[in-house]
Amino acid sequence: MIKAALLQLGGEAYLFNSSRTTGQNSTPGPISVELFLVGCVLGFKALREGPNMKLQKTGWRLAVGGMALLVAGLLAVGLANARPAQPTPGDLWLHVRVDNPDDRGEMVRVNFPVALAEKLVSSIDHDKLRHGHINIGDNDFNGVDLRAILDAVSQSKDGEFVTVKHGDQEVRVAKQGGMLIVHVTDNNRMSRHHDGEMSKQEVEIHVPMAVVDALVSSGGHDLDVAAALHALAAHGTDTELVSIKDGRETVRVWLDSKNTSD
Amino acid sequence: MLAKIALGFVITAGLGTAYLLQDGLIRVSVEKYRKDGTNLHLYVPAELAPLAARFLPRDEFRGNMKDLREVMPILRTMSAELTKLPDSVLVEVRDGDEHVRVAKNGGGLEVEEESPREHVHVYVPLRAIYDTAEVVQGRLEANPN
Repeated sequence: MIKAALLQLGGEAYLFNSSRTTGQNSTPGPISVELFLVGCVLGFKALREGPNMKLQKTGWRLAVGGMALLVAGLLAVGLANARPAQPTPGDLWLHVRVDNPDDRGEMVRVNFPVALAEKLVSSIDHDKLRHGHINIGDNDFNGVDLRAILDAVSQSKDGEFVTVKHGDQEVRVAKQGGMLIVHVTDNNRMSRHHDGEMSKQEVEIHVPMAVVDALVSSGGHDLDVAAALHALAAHGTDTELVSIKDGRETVRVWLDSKNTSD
Repeated sequence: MLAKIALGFVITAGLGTAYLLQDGLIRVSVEKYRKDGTNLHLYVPAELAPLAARFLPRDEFRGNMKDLREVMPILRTMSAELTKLPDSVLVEVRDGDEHVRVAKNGGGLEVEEESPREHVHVYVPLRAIYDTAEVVQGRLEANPN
């Protein structure tokens, strides 16, 4: 009945199209004062026109009016906050999952929307990260021109670019199916979690070439991180980005459309 | 006549309460698991946060101007964008018997820490973060020095 009355008085417009938004679309915002007033008007209207004519005494009217105000206000607060935002189809989430069953059972889970990461990176103006761009300068990476290397990789055809074998260690860098793939294996690595015990470490990194292209798109000595994240968000498919296995410890970084890492 | 005045008070009080509660409540809860441990449960209307930022003496900003200028746009962007998201656990860390969780819950950001020593729970409505950051940023831009 109350909802119907609210609808009659245009309360629906107040409920679901609150103007006090933080730049978002027409999501239900916090209760507005206007909505509260609608509740008040309803309460008094119901009292005045209601069938119970015994409520004519001033004291009663005051008490019930106050209660109606309170109820209307609480109802409005509840309704205004009742509809949480829904996930937008196609939005990609970046997930980080670290598991170490040894020692104290460490566990880390990070779930972050890529689009939000892009906007946050664009709003940071600190040190070398300026509005989504990282200045790598001339002398970083021990004189290696990282930008030139990434540029060359993005323009080359599919294939294995680098293979290094040194003892038990092996590093491979390849481009395949639109992905830059880095694979590192260390078959005899001293594990930091097993006092002296040797264990195998495997690192696998997959980066979509569109992301690499976007990273070097700004030219000069800048890496465009915001553009890279934008390209990642536009990638649109579930992708395993990083996988590290070190003894029993595992690290995974991946993209999918779910907002949980389970 | 007296009844009308009283009714006016009730309406004013109701509207005042509605204004203060329109952005929800900032909730801070600290429970120390000790015999003489502190148990703190604080509920503050979120609308008071930007209000406090508006009237905070300017001297409080001194020494942190550069950091505040960098952080405020990030807070604004983050709070505005998080509002659009579905409820989600953003960060969760478990290390032995310690557990920390940061989540977007309803219209707010929730931080929870649980350990054998204490339980801390903080909930801040995103609207309050956005409004407060906007006020502080506005004040910094109005008086750059």
